[in-house]
Amino acid sequence: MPFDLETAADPQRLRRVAIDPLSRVEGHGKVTILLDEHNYVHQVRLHIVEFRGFEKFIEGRPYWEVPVMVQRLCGICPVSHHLAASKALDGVAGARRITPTAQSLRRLMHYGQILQSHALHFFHLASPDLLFGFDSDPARRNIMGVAAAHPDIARRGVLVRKFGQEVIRVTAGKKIHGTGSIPGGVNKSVSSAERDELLAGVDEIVDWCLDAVRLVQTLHAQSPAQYDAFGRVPSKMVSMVDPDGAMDLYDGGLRVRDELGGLLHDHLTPDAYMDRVEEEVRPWSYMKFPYLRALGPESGWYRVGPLTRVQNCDRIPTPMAEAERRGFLDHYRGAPVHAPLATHWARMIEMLHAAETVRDLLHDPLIGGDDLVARGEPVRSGIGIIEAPRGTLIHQYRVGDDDLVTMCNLIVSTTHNNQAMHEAIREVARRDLDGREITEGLLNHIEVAIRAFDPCLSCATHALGKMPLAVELLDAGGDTVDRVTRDDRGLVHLPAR
Amino acid sequence: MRCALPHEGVAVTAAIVVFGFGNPGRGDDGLGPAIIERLDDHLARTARTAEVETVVDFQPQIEHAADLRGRTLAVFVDAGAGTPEPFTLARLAPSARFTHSSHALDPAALLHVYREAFGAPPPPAYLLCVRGYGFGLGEPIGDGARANLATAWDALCTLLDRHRPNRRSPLTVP
Repeated sequence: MPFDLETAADPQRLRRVAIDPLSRVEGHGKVTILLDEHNYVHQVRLHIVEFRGFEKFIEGRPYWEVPVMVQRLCGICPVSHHLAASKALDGVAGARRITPTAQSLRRLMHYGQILQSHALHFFHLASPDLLFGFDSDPARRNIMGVAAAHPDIARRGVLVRKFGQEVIRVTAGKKIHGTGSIPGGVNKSVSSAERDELLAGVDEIVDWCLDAVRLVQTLHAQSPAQYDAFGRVPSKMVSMVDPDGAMDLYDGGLRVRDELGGLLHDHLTPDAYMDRVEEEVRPWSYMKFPYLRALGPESGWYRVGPLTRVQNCDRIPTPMAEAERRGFLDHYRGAPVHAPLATHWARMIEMLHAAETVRDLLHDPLIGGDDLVARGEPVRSGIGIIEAPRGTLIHQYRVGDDDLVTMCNLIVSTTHNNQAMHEAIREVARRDLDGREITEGLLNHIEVAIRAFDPCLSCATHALGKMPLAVELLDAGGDTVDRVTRDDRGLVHLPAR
Repeated sequence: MRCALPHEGVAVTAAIVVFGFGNPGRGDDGLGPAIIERLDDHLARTARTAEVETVVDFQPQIEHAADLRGRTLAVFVDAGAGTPEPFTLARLAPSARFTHSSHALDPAALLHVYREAFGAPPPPAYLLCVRGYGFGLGEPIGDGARANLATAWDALCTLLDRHRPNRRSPLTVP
């Protein structure tokens, strides 16, 4: 196999460590690590069961139901699926181009989604590691610990997330299974009362988002070697930009850069991109491995998401976020940044951009307009691409003459990042685990690298009483030889020695 | 529903908040949203929407801490897998318990986050956990879960009646 640490040469003689389930990521995933008797790492794999069968669930449904149905994919970023499906099916509804009003309303919904998702990830999921340290007491390393030690940070996280959710509610109609975006446009505008209520709070949100960028900058400055080296693996980068090369998270063409920042492709249309990408299936994983066909799987894999987007674009079209982006690039002296922990900095720059964009759109008279839907000659297929919080999200559909979906293909952000996440955790395993006794803190290093990508492994089912965490060491025959557990109070129970 | 703005001076319109958590596209996981739908209808018919605010979401999240501001009662309704039939109703206390494998918080943790982040004790809170059985993608709520929901509905109404700021007439109607 081409990738180091993907497949051990002699797995039968190795011990297996499983981190199952991964914590503070959405959905269910696990990491398995094969070690020899001296604790040297021979194999690292991330296993995710994601979206299996969902495409079949969509096939046979009327196309106009799809933007609502696909929100069942995920409880965390349903709006991204809602909008990607709508974009893919606009042409099927006869709208080659949606109205300016619909464009503004969809953008408002989308940037509200970016705002709330980035806030949740940083304040709830990532900040415990960054504020307390990767090896800190796991009982404290969570949002409750942040709330106790840094109540102002926690409170702002709560309220920024809340604000983003309210933007979604007024544009999508409701917070879950919203119906605001439909093939061909939208079905509601924003009332004056809704606009005024959001405008009353948006300046404070923008200020807090700027403070969040400053917080990440401070954390970087305190430990630059760790932030710049942890899990660093150069990769190609894919994200969307507008026709002028500026960051656009809702619409545009795809730009592809190589590891050194050189331009490989620019302004690719959705169709052109799908012609250039291939998905490899590997027998040990349910999740596919996308790559650029012309380069092959070994060289053609890439990364998507905030770290890519802030570097791939020529500028960010809101002033405060652009100033922060320039500061980010200056910090790295213009060199391409491939350090996963820098993603948190990039994510906060995007959160600031989202807040500024929401503020601008709230002043846009189009969001109160009534020209909601465009009509025209329908086509029978479409591809919708959007920059979801975690990265590029692609929905592709074909529809029969009876208006029922005959083909559905989804490539989600986490899938795009599959190889990149693997390479990051293998780098962490090499640097931090190799030859050392495995502890909960060291295993958290692996999770920290994964969390930087904010993967969404969600099946969106949430039920009480199903939240275990155990790390088991098994021998080659699969028998448990060691076990570390973390209980519901966050206390770690190590095996007796 | 009220728009919760970031500034602290926002007016709270209802003294009681009831959360319904779950995914309506996942079988019995939709029990929480289903009971909220019934409650919304009931509140509208009885002109009592000003008394109780409802919040529906897939799962408890940190921003729901902001929904606790200014309340005299909070009720969390959720589906349970492997929990007692037909439902359990329990008073909640703030707890630093955290969930490991999701973005979600459990309701007791939400109360804890509220207390720490907003610097005030949370309102009295209850968890109404309705037993569910099937959580398959695209499935409707099953008959067994619906029967449990009917029983839980009575308990919810009794609880809300007991905490009504103005108890001139019960929430439940003949």
